[in-house]
Amino acid sequence: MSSEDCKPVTLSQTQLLAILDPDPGRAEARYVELHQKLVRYFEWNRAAEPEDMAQEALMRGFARLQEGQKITTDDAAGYFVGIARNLVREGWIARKDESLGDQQPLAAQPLFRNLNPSEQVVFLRQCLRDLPENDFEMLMAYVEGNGEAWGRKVGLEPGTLRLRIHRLRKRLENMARTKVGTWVTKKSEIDAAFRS
Amino acid sequence: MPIETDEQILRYLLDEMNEEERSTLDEQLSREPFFFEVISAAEDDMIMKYVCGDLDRRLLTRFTEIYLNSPSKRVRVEEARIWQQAVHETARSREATASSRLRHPKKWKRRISLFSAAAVLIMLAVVLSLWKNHPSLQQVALQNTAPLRFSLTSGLVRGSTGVEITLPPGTRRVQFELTLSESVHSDNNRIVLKTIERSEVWTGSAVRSGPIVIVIIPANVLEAGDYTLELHAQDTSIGNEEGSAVYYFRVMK
Repeated sequence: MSSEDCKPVTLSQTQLLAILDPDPGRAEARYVELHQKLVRYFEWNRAAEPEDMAQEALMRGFARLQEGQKITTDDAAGYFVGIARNLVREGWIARKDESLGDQQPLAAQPLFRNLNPSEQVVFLRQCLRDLPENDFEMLMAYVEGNGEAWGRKVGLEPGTLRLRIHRLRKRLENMARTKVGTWVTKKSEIDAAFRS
Repeated sequence: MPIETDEQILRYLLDEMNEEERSTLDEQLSREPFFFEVISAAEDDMIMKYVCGDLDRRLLTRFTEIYLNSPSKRVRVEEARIWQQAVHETARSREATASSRLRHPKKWKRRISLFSAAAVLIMLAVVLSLWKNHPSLQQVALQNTAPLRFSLTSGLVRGSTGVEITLPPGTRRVQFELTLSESVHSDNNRIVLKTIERSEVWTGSAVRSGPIVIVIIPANVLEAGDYTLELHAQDTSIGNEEGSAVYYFRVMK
């Protein structure tokens, strides 16, 4: 069991997120990462609405923490994956009208996915521009289907190469997401300025 | 017993495991955070192989069934294509910058000190000598061939089956450039490839480039026969379909 029961406590959203990381900035990033993990987990389990189910798993987890439950594993993600497993077992179906009210966790809808493909390419290109040559060469081989040959050339096992590429993609996608966030904020500021 | 092999991970991703195996793997997922990354990396790799047209034929059938019938999984396939396009475009602009440096040495001499220029030349000499001595490097570069390109216009001339295209052995990707009708202005275009019997073979998004949209399709989904490419343009402001067009072609092998 990854958690233990305690008496109920009232935690703010910031305190709840601090369970993921004491630093508020990093905690938010870890929250987004956790949401993405849960979405993947539900996709692997062929859930019809993985985004909604990931949100439900997060809400249940945070609600239990509000009730005083404590995470006893080193990584909080395991606790939430456990809840996700139970949701799959229960055959849970999205009920969109339920919420935690004020204590609802952050909406982790990735802005990046809301852009159209051409815009996504533009943001990724901005992030790829300054990538070190070796990393770029690895990515190039990967998108050309020559990843394994490239791995052999530099002495990397296929599994190690896959992980490197996965982490690099994640890092660049997070960078692109930050750029999109800044762009959306600036765009709304400009729109507001024009409206006033 | 922990799940470790690539084969087991692929069976998990393609929903080919029995309840017991699946439960073991799920248990491992909640216990070992690193294992989550291993599976995610394997999934990204499998999707990119599909996009490159390199997915093993046995896996391809199951992949099409599982990934193309799920909206959220289709998004992952689209993301892989977006990655592929972004990397290709970046490679082209990097190449252009490099050749611009070679074409305008005076301009660049002003910017680069003599010392660093000499260092670059030495590096080039080392790379060239490595290149000559390592056939595997040349082989990787030769494999980076651009996709075959075809232009299609919507509609069909009476009595014809559309443009006939021939795919030489070893073709991995085919790029179609679809001429747009005047009524389509959207940047958000979805493509559905169907056989003439109307069964869906492949689906993806296309990128607009002026009066055409470009879509790259893995060659291994194209057997000899007649096909239609349906273009569905979405008006993102209202979420409705702005227009559609059908393009016909025949694959000869």
